[in-house]
This record gives sequence, C-alpha cells and structure tokens, in this order.
Amino acid sequence: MKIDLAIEHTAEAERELAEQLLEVGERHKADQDVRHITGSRAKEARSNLERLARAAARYGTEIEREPSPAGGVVGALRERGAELLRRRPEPGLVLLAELEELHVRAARASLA
Amino acid sequence: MSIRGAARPRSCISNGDALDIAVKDGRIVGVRGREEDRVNHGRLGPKDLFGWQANNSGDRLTRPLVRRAGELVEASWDEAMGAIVSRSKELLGEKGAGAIAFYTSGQLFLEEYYTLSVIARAGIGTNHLDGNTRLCTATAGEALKETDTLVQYGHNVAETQAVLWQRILDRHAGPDRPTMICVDPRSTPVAEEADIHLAPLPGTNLALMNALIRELVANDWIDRGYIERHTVGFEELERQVSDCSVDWAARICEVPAADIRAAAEAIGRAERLFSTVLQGFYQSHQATVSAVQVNNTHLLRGMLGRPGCGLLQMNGQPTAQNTRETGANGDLPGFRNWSNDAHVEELARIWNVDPLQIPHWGDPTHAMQIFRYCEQGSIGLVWISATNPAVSLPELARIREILAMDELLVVVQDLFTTETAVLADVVLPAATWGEKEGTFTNADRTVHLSEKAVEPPGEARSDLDIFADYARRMGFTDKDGQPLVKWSDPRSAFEAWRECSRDRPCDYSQIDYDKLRDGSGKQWGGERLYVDGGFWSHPDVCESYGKDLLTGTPLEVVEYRSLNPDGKALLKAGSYLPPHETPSEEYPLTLTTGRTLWHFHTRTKTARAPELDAAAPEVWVELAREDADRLGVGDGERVAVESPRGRIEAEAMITGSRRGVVFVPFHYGYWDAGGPDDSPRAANELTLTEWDPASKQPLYKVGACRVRRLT
Repeated sequence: MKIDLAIEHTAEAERELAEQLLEVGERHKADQDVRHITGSRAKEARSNLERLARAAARYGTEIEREPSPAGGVVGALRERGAELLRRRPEPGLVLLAELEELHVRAARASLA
Repeated sequence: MSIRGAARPRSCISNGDALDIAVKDGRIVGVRGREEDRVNHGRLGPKDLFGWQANNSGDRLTRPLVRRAGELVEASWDEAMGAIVSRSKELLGEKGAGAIAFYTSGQLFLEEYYTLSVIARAGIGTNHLDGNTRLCTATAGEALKETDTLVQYGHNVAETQAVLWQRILDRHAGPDRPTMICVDPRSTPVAEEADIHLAPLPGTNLALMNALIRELVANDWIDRGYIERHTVGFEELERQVSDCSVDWAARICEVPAADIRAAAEAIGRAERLFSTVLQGFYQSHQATVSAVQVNNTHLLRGMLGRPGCGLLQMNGQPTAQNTRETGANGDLPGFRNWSNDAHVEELARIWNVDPLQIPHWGDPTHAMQIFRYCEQGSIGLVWISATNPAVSLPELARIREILAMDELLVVVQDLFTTETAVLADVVLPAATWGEKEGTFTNADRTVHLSEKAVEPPGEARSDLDIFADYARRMGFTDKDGQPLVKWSDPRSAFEAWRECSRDRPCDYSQIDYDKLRDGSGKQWGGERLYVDGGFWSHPDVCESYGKDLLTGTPLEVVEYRSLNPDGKALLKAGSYLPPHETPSEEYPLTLTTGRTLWHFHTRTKTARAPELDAAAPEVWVELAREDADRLGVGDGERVAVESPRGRIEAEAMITGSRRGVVFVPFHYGYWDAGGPDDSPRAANELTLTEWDPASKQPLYKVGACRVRRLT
C-alpha cells in the first residue's frame, strides 16, 4: 500500500517540526513570544500526529505518535543557556537562522 | 470660606467625567460634577471626588533629579535635559534610531501624545513608542438608555467605572428592566446583580465565546441579511465553532451547561443588545480572539449602530483613547496603517518630512518587546512618562533588573518619586490636570477640554513643554530646515492635530478649543459610528490589514484585499487553546489580578488622597471558601502567595467566588511600604511574562500559584 507510506512520510515531517519547535522554544526561553508561540504550534503538530496515527491504524500501520519528549537534561541545559545569555544580543541572530529553518520545515510538513 | 478663582477646568479620571474645580489661594480646594455634561450628568466616582487632593500633596516632585555617583540629586532643567539630549545624540550616532524608546501612558493630554508621536516617529525615527494602553473602542454609551440585554464580559464595572455602574443600576432597578449577563470568574457586585453569572476558569474565555456563537448559529438567532450585506468570513466562523458544543465548553470552563445555554438564549433573543468588554478578556489568554468573538455576537445579530444596541470595548484610563488616536501606542497617528505606503506618505506630507524618516518597515514595537530590547542592550535610552512599570508590568524582579542596568539611561517623567523613578537616571517633574491645559477623549469619543486652574508646584512643567523643549534642544527639523514641532502651546498643538486627523476615522477637524469651552464635551464622528453597517475596513483606509489571531503574524495587503475587497466587517474566528501555564501539583491554583474601586494604576495619586487610601490601605488576597477551608486559612489571616516567579504576603479575604481562583489587586507597590525583599506585596511579583500574540497585551489574568498560611 502506498497510502501508509504517505502517512508515515507526513507523520515524520510533523514529528520533526514538533521536535524542532520545542527545541527553539527552549533555546530562546528569554524571548517570551518565541517560547509561547513555538509551544502552541508544537501542540498543534502533536495533535496532527495523533490524527495521522489514527488514520494509519485504519491502514494497519503503526506510527510513532510522540515526538521525542521535550525537557530532560538537554532541554534544561538549553533553557539555562537562554537564561545566561538573556542580556546578550547574539541569540537574536541565531534565532533568525532558526526561524528560517522552522519556516522550511513547516512548509515541508504542510506539503507532505 | 470664600472660593476664589473663576477657573472651571473640566478634567477626569476613569469614565471621562466632567467636573469643575474650585480654587482658593492658588490651590485646588474641591471639585464637583458638571450637570450639563453628556457623559456623567453631574455624577462623580470616588476617585474623581477625592483624587484631586494628590495634586496638592507635599511630596510632589518640584525639581529635576539626576543620578550622580549612584544617588539621585536635584539638578536644573538645563542639566537634566542636557543629559538626555547628549545621550540621545550619542546613541543616534553610534547605533541609530532603534536605540531610543518611549513608553507613555493613558494619563497625558491629546496634545502631549501627539507631540511625542511626532518626536518619536519623525524626529528620532524610532519604531519603539508605546503606551501602557492597548485596548479598543466602538459605539456610543447612550445606548445604555435603551438596551434590553446588557452583557459584561470580564468587566467589573462597579470597580472600574463607578458612574457608568450607577447608570446601569438605574436601568436595572427601573421600568423595562434589561436582562443582565456577567462573565467573570469572581463573585463581584456586577455578578451578584446579574441575572446570569458565568464564572469561567481564567484562561478559557474563548471556549465559552465559541460555544455561545455556535448556539446563536445553531438556533438561527442570527440576522442572515445583515451578515450577507455587511460581513465576510461567516462560513469560516461557522466551521471553526462547529465542534464547540455547550457541553464541551462547560467542561473546559467549569461552568454549568444550563447557564451557558441561558446566556446564549438571552443574547440570541435580545432585541437591543449592549455589550461591554474589559480586562477580564483583554488581559487573559487568547485575548484578542476572545474580544473579537464579542464583536461577532453583534455582527451576527446585526446589532450595531442603532438605538439601544452597542458594543463598548472599554478603556481603563482617562486618556487612553488619545494615546491610540495620536499613534502613541502601536499605530501611526490618526489610525494610519504602517504597512500602507499611501498612509505613510500622507503623514510625511503633513509633517513635511521624507517618508523614509517614518519607520514603517514593520510593526511598531510594543511595550513588552521594548523592555526585552532594553534587556538585550539594543535600546540604550528609555523615556517613561506618567506610568510606573516597576509596579505595573509582569514579573517585577525582571523589570527592576532591567531598569537598574548601567548601560540603559532611564528617564522618568512623573508627579512623584514612583517605584520606577527611584531606579531612573533622570527624573523630570511634571504638571498634572488643573495645572495645564489640554484635551482628552473618552471611550465614547467625547472630547473634553481640561483648563488650567493653578500653577504647577516648584519647577514642574507640563508634559507638552517638556517634549517640545526636547525637540528644540535636539534640533529636529523638517525637509525645509524649519522646526519639526511647530507648536509650543496646547491650542496650536491641537490645531496641528486637527489637520493630521482630517478625514481619518477620528476626525477632529470640526472641533476646536472655542467649541470645547462651552459646557459639555463634544463627540467626534457624531452620535453613532457604524450606522447602516459601514466600517473603516476598506483596504485603502483600514488601520491595519489585521493579524493571525493565534500567532500575531501581520497579514499582507494582498491577502487582506482578496479576503475583504469591499471593506466589510470581518468575522474572525479562532480555536481554543489551553493557557501556557496551567495549575500543577506544585502550583495548584489559578492567579488572576485586577482593580479596586478606590485605587488607580499603582496608587501613585489615589493613595495620596486620605479617603481613598483609608478605604483600601493594604493589599489583600481573595480566596474561595472551598480553597480557604482546604488550606486551613481563616478570613483576615496572613498568607503567602507564591508563583514560579516570586512571592507576596497579604491578608486573606474569603469570598463566595468559584473554587480554584485566587485574586490579588495589582495596585500596591513599595513607595509607602517596605520593599520587595522585606514585605513583598505587588501582585506583579507573581505574574508571568507573556502577552497576547495579536494585541501584545500582557496576560495579567492567568497564571499558576499556590497559597500557604503564615503563622
């Protein structure tokens, strides 16, 4: 069946998007709007994943529902970094590059 | 006692109430309401009645202060302005216009905001100008006389606008009693008076609104003809709310389904629907999209612009309307659209400057982002006028740290040494109403002239004088080398504003000082806006092309044109998302903050009026009986309220409000009591740095906290 492959492909795009959204949110915790909007968008991607998992089940495939969990030690380190660098302008440039990348990923998820 | 002085200035706090001032020996000695005024009909709220005493307070700032070797010391105006001007020029040379920011208020006069707006946009050329006001208004308050259904969304009118509340009580106790609906998580006087009280869990307003809209549509309590003629987006709205059943909302909001149904039916069967909206919606999660759903109830029912129908997206501050009109918070003056080149060119023509001098490459910077840029160091000078962010912004520990940064020059222009002023590098003493002349406009567009009755204390100056002096010292000029700010007194500033506002939605060209000196205030735009379903939403005239309400991404002109080519009203929708910070095991309660009748903003003036101070001298914490019992807290006992950001201590007040919600009034700071370390009491020690993505208004109404008893 091709349809299950297509669902898997889409699910992978959504999962990667959710993971990256959470990661960017952690790294830019001091930019509160980035933090909160990436969080909301990640939830949306996650609910898309669940819908895809239900669809996949109808075609007899199982897909990974959850993106890698946010937080943990790495997440906490990213947040700590954001705290330490909160008075510095440099994370602004990093953020610009990461938002570009997110845009591409979101476009991929929407195409897939 | 003989009262001398024929001066009868009209000024106001809160509702735009007109009052006369009595003067004796060069000092204000009393006030009274003006009977002939169209807004208050002679009535005054307690803050008007007593608040004037602060003007005479012995601790008014009378000389500029400059920080030297870590201490604020008295200085001359030349020294103080010189320090600001030399730092401004240095920053403009080194970093450019983006290094200078202005944060203003809802307390100045129209002429002062307009002057500030010209200085910031055309003089400096900075994007960073905002006010502590971020609300929005519509039609006339007169509708109150004729309405049959009155809905108050997150609007505790009994505490915020006492005079309006008196008028509502008149109607509710009189013949043809309107049905009253109150949406508020707390048991307020409004909630007690209401026929239907919905108490949603903070942060769930949109779920409730979407269910109400779905009920209106499902029961066909809508005016399909009006929708067809005057709106776009109905199908999308219908689709968005299709899953939002009353039972679904009842679960999320923790409100009985029957009450939601009853409210929907009252709104749905109303013949003259009147709604008011305030901070319970604006300062909560998904603020803009929730407030927009209130607009949608009126659009769906065709209930705008006729007798008894109306919608007041209320203002909290007396001159907040002017902050917006003049472009001192987030728009260009006259509600011009920063992303419409024709609007920017028109403004450049009026000011006689190059359009490129006016920053319009992106959104004007909102207050919370201004402080973020200060934190990151890209802003090197922030000029704060008539507001007190060290008490009124969220997460105060962070705000104090930013204001204290060595590399940031903080200028504070105020009447008193506020909590913000003590952290400033330059403090400028300002005059207040009664000591200067100027106009202000309330939420129903009534313009009043406030006349000068007495001299300001010491060397204090009007805000207009201060801004005009800065423009002169900076040498701002137009294209022809003439001074950019071509006025120096209120009347000539108002004349300039009349021209700037001509043919815009807030057209003042038919109003002048002579007309305003005569009795009652005058409305711009006539008695009613939006008559016959006309709106300022055509692509060529609209204030903005709108935003995605969930993310705040600005729409482009092409998208807007294709969505709304004929300039109809847009029925925008959005789906409910849970708040970002919800109660947890560690912080099991929801914190909400708000006002009390007796105080204004951070008590800078109201606590200096003995009657107002005595009425509410100390902060308190409201707990629902159920929660108090569980925590073993009795009425009047001291408790600590803690959030992930900070803690406060206060006396508990047990109320009949819904469980799970803790309320703290936000007015209390530290100028008259200890400090954040020894007696923390400012509600914003607890609040979260988060804002609505579309309106950029901070969310003071939703966050997690825990309460424990202090022994």
